[in-house]
Amino acid sequence: MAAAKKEVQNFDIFIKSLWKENPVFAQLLGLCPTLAVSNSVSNAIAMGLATSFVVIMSSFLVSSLRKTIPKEVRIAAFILIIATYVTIAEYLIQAVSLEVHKSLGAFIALIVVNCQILGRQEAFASRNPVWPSIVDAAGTGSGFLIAIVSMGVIREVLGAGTFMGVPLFGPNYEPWVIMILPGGGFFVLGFLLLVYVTI
Amino acid sequence: MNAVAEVENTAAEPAVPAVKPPTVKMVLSLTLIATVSGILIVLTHFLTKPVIDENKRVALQNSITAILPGTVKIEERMVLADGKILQIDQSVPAKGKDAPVGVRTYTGLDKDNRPLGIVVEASGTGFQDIIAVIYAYDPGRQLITGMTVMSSKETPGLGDKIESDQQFHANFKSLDVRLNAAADGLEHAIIAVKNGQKTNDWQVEGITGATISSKAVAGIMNASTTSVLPQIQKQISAFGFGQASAARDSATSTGGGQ
Repeated sequence: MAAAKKEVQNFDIFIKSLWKENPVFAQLLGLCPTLAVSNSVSNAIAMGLATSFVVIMSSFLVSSLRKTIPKEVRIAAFILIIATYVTIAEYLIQAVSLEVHKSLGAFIALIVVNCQILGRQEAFASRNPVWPSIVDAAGTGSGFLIAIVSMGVIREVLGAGTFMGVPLFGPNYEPWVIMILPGGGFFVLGFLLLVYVTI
Repeated sequence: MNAVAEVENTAAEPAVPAVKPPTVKMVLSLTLIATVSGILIVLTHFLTKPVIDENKRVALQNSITAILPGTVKIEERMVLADGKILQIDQSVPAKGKDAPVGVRTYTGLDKDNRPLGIVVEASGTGFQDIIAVIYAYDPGRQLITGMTVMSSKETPGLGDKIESDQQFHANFKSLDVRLNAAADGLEHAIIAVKNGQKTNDWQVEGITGATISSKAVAGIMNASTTSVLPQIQKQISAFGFGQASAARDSATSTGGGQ
């Protein structure tokens, strides 16, 4: 009975982080990588997965160590842990694909300063047991992935006429180039925020 | 309801007295975390290093084979600032104060160990940021036979056409880079011309709408060929060309060879 209740509770935590408290659309956090790396679907997927990896692993470690980290140095400790996992993520990305590493460039290292991750540690992982923290982090990561990939799909299809590099329209299609430039990023984000609020 | 109880407990904790123990605890916990983090990072570094090095090697091989078809083996040499040629192998440090500084070249050899051409690295300022290219040089015929943009941050949709535009790349299939009589520079400098106005083999026809990026590439090629090609030609035998090259050229002209 208690186990079933915990299951439902954990699922609620997951859904809440993913949708109701979606890091991009609801909390408006981590907008910099969302805007910068969503100019193509493959970049967006890579960024979303990298960030999810960092937030899940960081939440796991922070939650495991939450009783030993003194309150006064908690932010320093969180940043240290997040930075460690970002470094690990960078090595892993290079090992999997140099192409992706080149496309993401400096934004991999900038995952450290993504407020979504630090926010999760402070608001949840440092105060809750390990498994719920992991579930919450998975929800946040998935929410970010959904947000950045939906931006990526719109921007790549309209701005370059391709999806994951595969041309969709004929050679006569004149791409709406602004969509893959920063201005387009803002327009698409604003549009998606409007959609999110209306749903 | 555990989560809520946990949060309430944290809020109800009595205030920490401002005395010594907290400092020691703070230092210890941060040290512990830093140590664990350090170990994790170093472990990952060593585990992924062979894979990453292999990826880089394959990427380099692919880009060289793409502009020098038939390449099976690559010999790396560096043209140093004083003009000397340095053969690069495992023993030469890649980074640090002992690392040699100069222009990197890669001689592509075919399956019979005959040199096909020399791929040279070059870079310079583009419209937005540095553009890095590699080009294939045929020392026998004194032509550039291919160019690939390795990295650029030109404007997407406009300047970045230098990476993929077929017509632009056709410029570099047989670009005339013969040396002048004194063999210390090019007979004709590589210059960019407007689209549709190419009349000579040493001109680079620009891309409409990407004039500055096209001019930048022509400028990079010109600077690199002017300074590096004379050095290469002067010491061409060090690259494996020379007698072998003369034999290959005569074999080609009689219909044999490649």
